[in-house]
Amino acid sequence: MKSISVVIPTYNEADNITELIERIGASLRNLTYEIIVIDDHSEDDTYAIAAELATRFPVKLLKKRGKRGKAYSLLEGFAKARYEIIAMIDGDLQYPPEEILSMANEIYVGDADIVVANRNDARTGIARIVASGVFKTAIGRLLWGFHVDVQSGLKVFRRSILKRIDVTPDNGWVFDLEFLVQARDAGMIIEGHDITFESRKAGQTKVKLMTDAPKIASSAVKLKFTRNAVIRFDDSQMEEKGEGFHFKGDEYVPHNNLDHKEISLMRALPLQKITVIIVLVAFVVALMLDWVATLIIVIAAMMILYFADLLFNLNLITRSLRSNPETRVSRKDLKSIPAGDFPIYTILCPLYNESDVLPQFIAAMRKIDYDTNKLQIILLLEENDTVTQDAVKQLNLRKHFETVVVPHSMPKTKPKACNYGLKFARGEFIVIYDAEDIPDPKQLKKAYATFRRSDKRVVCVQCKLNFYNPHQNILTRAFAAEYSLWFDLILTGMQHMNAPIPLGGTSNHFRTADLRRLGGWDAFNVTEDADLGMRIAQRGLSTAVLDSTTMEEANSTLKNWFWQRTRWIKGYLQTFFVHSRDFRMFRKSSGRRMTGVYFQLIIGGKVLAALINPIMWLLTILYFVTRPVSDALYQTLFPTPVLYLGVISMLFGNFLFMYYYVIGCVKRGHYGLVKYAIFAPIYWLGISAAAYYAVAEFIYKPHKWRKTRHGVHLRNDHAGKPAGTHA
Amino acid sequence: MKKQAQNIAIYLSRHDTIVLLVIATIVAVASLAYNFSAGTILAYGDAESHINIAKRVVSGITPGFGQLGGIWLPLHHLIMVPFVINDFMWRTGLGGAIASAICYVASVFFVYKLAGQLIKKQLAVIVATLIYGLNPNIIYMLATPMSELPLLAFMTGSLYFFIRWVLHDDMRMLILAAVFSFCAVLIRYDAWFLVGVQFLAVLAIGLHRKYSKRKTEGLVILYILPPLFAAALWLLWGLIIFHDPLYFMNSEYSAKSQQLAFLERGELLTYHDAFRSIQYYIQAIISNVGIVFAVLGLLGGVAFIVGNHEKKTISTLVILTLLLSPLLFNVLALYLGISILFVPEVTPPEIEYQLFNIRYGMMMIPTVALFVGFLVGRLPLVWERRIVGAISIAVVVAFSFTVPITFADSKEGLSARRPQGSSAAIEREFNMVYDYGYVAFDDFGRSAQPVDLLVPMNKMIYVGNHPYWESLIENPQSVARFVIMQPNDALGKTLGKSKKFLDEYELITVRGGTHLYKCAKNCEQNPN
Repeated sequence: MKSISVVIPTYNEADNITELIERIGASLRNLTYEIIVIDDHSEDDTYAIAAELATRFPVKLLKKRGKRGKAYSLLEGFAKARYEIIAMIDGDLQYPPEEILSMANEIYVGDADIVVANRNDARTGIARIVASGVFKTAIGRLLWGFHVDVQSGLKVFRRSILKRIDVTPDNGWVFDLEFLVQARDAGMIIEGHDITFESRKAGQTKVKLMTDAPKIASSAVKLKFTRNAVIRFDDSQMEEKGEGFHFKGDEYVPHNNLDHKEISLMRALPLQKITVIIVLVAFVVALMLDWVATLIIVIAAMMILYFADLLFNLNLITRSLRSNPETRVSRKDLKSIPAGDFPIYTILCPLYNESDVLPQFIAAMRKIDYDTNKLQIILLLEENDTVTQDAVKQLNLRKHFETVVVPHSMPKTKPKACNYGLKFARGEFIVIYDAEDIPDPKQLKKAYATFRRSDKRVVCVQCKLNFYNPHQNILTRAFAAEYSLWFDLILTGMQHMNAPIPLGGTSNHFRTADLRRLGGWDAFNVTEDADLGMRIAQRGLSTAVLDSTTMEEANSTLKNWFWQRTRWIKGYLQTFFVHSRDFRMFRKSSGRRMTGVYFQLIIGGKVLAALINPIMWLLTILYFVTRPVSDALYQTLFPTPVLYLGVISMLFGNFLFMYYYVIGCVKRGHYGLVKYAIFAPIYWLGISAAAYYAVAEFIYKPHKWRKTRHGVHLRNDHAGKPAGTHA
Repeated sequence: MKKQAQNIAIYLSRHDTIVLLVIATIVAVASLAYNFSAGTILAYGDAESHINIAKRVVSGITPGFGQLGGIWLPLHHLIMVPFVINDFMWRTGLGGAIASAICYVASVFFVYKLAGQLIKKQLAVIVATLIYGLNPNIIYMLATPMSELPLLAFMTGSLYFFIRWVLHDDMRMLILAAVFSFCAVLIRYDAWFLVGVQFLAVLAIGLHRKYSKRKTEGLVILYILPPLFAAALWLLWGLIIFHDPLYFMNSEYSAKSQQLAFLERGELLTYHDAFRSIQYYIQAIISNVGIVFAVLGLLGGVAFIVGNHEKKTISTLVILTLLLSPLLFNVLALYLGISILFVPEVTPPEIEYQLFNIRYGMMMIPTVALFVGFLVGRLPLVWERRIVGAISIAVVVAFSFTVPITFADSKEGLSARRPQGSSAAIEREFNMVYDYGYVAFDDFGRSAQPVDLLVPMNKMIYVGNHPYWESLIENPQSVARFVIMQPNDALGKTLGKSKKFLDEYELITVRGGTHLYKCAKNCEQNPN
């Protein structure tokens, strides 16, 4: 039996209430219904009449308790509603109550969650028509993109909506818009239903156009900047789909409960956006006022940042070389741990279109030196990737290999799959490997030994990564040189200075409980590993770098490399914006004064250097090419201190980074790659190009995840033999 | 009492580096104080040129790095810059001398550490350090703004780390050696040769230790890149500032051009004469270290070869070559005619100058000191203490009463700032008549000594002040109120022959062939 609750907010509607309730009763006579009248301190007989009507109709009469105003009346009325469908209608008889039934039917039989009465045929005063039209167009349509009559006093909707949204009006008139906005954000379907809007027959209108209209308009604008467009699933949805939410109407199931401010669902929060806009506007205005002084300041700022990056990296490398801070675990150390002490370990491997490298991965997993009774290897397969699913089935894997199919949902990313897999993890410890990985067979034991000897603040152990196909072509050589620098020098330097460590894709080991407490991975960040590393630091915890290497496949095609690099840099941008939402957060939560500064230099500095470097080169080349004509301009734009800083930064910065590549290669034992490190500046051009593309993608497609193709080395004779694993 | 002495000995051995640095600092400060009071800090002509270059980077009519010039390598001057900002520190030369003194302390530290790598016995290590650190030439030069001590500091640093790499195969040491070589390359060209030797040494070590070709290649690149980058920076500098990457070789002010003048006069005696090249440089070494230590050093060198014969021949050979590289470089430079040296003991009497560039011999003092230390370290135990005692006393006594040959060179030789008997007459005259405006002179021709002219550096115009120098030649009244020139310097050859100049400028005085002019007609000095 269909049922409906009709909520009527009233204030001095003694002349209308009887007819309204009678007409509602007549139109809903074939349904189970209730009428909830909320009387907002009426000074006439509204309450008494309604009380009398309650003897004839299923009327629930309530006296307003909270703040005055229609919005608050509605909220109180909704709270008392019993039936699955709720209708709200003004008590002035301007909205035809007979339409409630047909509007409810659109919900019963159609897809709509909310049906709004559109006052298309208005028979009211001209002022009201104009005001209503302006609001509908300017606020409803242009500002908010609604195609329904936002301020309409007749709406019918599912009661379940109220469980997910939380309307908190600032004044008595602004319920409607916020209600609709939140409902739409929560993924509800809103439809319009044309009605004839009658002029008031009795009583006086409560709307004071001159005072209420501005309030409604300003609230609508304010809402634009203050609303939380993330609407979490209710219990039943969570049970059905997993942890998730709607954002601006789209459904996302990241399988974790990180707050929206901790994830990169939104590129930037409103305050960040406003800051960026203010900076850009100030820049343009300053350019118009005094372009020379503005450019000098911009150039000087660039030089200072570039120089700071140079000094920071020099510090990292020096620390790394001086102290060799990475954790080392010898065979003797491992032998000293009783076999029974080794805990259950879970390996998560997200696989998406990875049938080519699957046999190689399974072979590598079989070589892992760990008691298989304590090993749980979860292969995370995507619902739509039947090819890999079939490939797994054909392998007849032993029981410690488990297959988990990740149900299709958005975002379709590796971290989402990992979050899903985390639910199935039984291990006390957990590690992530990519499909093409070949880890050091003793890595799990070494990681456990590292956790054993570290204090409880160490929640993650990051192993080193390198490549098994460095000599495949010039690109893989440069890439391997870069990886050697990153994992063998820079990360270890970061560890030494207690800086936040951006985790590297795979081979990061966690205590499972800690990882769950951390909230898992940000499913929206395309470098979820780097983001997690920052979150670890932000919470006052730390990451240890372990001298155990996982060999991977270096990208050997330029296109594949470019898209991967674009994703990485975009991910760094996402991470930067997420963790810059509150500059005090790092210091407050980590308790370390410099963590926030290090974060800026590590994440911000890396992106910025990639963006600035080609500009520096371009300016230098332009200077020499156009020296006779541009000399004076350069002298103006580069005052002596700025010039010196720039020249030193560019010459020494580029040289030092190239030299760091050399050192990284020598330290890693990639002697054959050393000479290629000299050509690093050409490689950086590619990185810079990717950085600019990443900025564009960050703006236009922040969550697009370009999948890196694996297994190219299997079709190349010059690639290294991945069977070998290295400690 | 005995226990107290023991405690002191324990403290000294535990904090040997600190003790060493403190002693070296005391020696440096004493030398600075003595030479400051004696007015000998700027005895070398080049000493003043060095601090003037450093000063012009921060003060002058056209300050900036462009003032670093293109002949002398820049790092020495850059090190001095912070110390010569103050006018007093510049005019007295103290700023430059302090930079040298700091380098002295560093070089003593590296000689001590180097000795510690090569010599087993601590006493012998101390002897080697004493011989180096108390050498009168070293002590005098540490109180001058000359480039010897900076070069020694970075060369001994580079050698120390390089030898540690040779002995312990720790790649981090090779990186540090490369960093010190980078600095040395930007101080003096001597280091370029050392880099070449070290480059070959890495190759030799790689071959001998049967490293793979890739590993040897990798290590070579690891070492050579920083010094190569330093050299490339210098060539780039020449290209940008002087439009010639080899400006330091091709310029009219280059050593090559100077040597050519000697060659034309038949005074470049070592040119293409191997025997004389060796003879002159060996004599320069003897003059710097004294005959006793020279002989002991020779014996020590032999002991070094023989003593290490049974193990790691290649390391011994490499280390020996490295330690002898200043000798090889200087002999080669003399032979090729890119360097010149006059030593009284061997220079024929008909040559006008008997003493010139004797300080080049200083580069071998660390080697001699290390060899003597090595020799002492090889002595039988019963002899050891007596010999060490004797040598220590000899060092102190001999060095205390020896007038450093480098000091004599600065007073009597061609290197002297002022030829013997001459005085600062023109500067005095100028200081008396100066009222305001700019003064121009040819700095390279040393017509006047800037430190003695009582006007700020930014009122002086010299050849490096573009475009003022060019304006000066074109239209002197628009630039300089005063002009100091000698008939053969750059201004004498141009303005001195200009009728217009002679007509419009009044000759104030002539002192020792130097003319002082003051603008008399149509003066409109306003270079800015």
